[in-house]
Amino acid sequence: MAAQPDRTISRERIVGAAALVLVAIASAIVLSLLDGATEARIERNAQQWILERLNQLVPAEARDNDILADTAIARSPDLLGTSRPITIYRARKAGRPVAVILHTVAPDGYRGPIELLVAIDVEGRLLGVEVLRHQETPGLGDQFRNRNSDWLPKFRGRSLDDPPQQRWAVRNDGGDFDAFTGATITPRAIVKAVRRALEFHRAKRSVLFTAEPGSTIR
Amino acid sequence: MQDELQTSPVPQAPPDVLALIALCPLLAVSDTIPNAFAAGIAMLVVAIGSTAIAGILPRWLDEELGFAALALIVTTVVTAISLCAHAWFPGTYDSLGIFLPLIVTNVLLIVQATRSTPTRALATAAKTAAFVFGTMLTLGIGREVVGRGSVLRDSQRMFGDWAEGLHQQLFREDMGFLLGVLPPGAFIALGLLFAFVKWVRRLKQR
Repeated sequence: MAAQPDRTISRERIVGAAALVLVAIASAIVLSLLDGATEARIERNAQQWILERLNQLVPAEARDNDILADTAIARSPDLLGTSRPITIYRARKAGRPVAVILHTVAPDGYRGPIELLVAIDVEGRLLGVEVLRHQETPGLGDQFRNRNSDWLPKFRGRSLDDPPQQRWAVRNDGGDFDAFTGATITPRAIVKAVRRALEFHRAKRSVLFTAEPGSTIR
Repeated sequence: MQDELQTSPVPQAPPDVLALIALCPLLAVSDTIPNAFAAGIAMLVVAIGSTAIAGILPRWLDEELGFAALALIVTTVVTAISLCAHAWFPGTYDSLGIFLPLIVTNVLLIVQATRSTPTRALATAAKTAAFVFGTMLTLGIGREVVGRGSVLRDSQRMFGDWAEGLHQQLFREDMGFLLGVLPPGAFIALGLLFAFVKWVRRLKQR
């Protein structure tokens, strides 16, 4: 536009630019005020959301500690199969360990990572598995939500010895777990991630409950 | 007037074509009735809110600066709405979160075409937004019934616990036609809807 010879910077344009800057400043002020006003509430919602899901796996009666604060971080790519830091929630009652819940991730979902909660008791048995977030194909990969809603509960009570380690896979791979009709990749990814969580639990059992809150387990 | 239109930073098209294009960014969230409803409401609020705010812009602001200011206002309103949704309607935000920013393009197409007097601009924006809202809701009903065999599923996530009883399963979910739920189904449903409207119009003309 500067190349056009007949276009000089008129007074109107300067005033116009000033008006634009004013609009930008006003927007910034409004948004930063609103951000401040909503921040605490958004954080509270997020905590409430995760707490509801943790309570489904380890009921509030079974523990008496502040599970949201009693966490450690796992960084163990070779055991967990992901380089992401994994939050470990620890449930205790009267100071005694009850269970850990790993907020882990199945990196090899069909359309991206699948976020999971895997609850494991002190004996290394599964208390339950919940899918937190996923992008699997509606109707195919997400059958654990509706058509196959009894699929996730089947993990309950399983451990690394039940079934034996080599059968910790979907049926198509010679394992003990059903796949979904028309979707093998999603169940395979979830089974693998759950198995890895159990293996991590077995390997790090001695430090899971003794690690300082907020510390990292490698 | 004609010359003014041609220097506009956004290509001009007839209003009904614009409304159609404006629909596209939101189509993906028309898979259930509550989703379509929430996205439609958000879009209505943004369209009317930003047109009203844009009404205070000085009339002598030239087209380019005016458009930049309008874009700023629309993005601000959209960001404000998604912050509020995140804080007070977390269920809605979970299903719509990543699609809310798309309302910016959607609304810019609607309000851009109407930089006349503030009241007239407001009326046109409201009319177009209402048309988009109605279409979204119709698609939501069609896609939820065809794809999932239900009406108002998950409405408690959006409207609170009282809405839980609103969910009606018309037939078994696995009988649902998957295409209805998947994104391409939105375009097919939209095409069918327009074909139906045209067919009705032609019947009336006879």
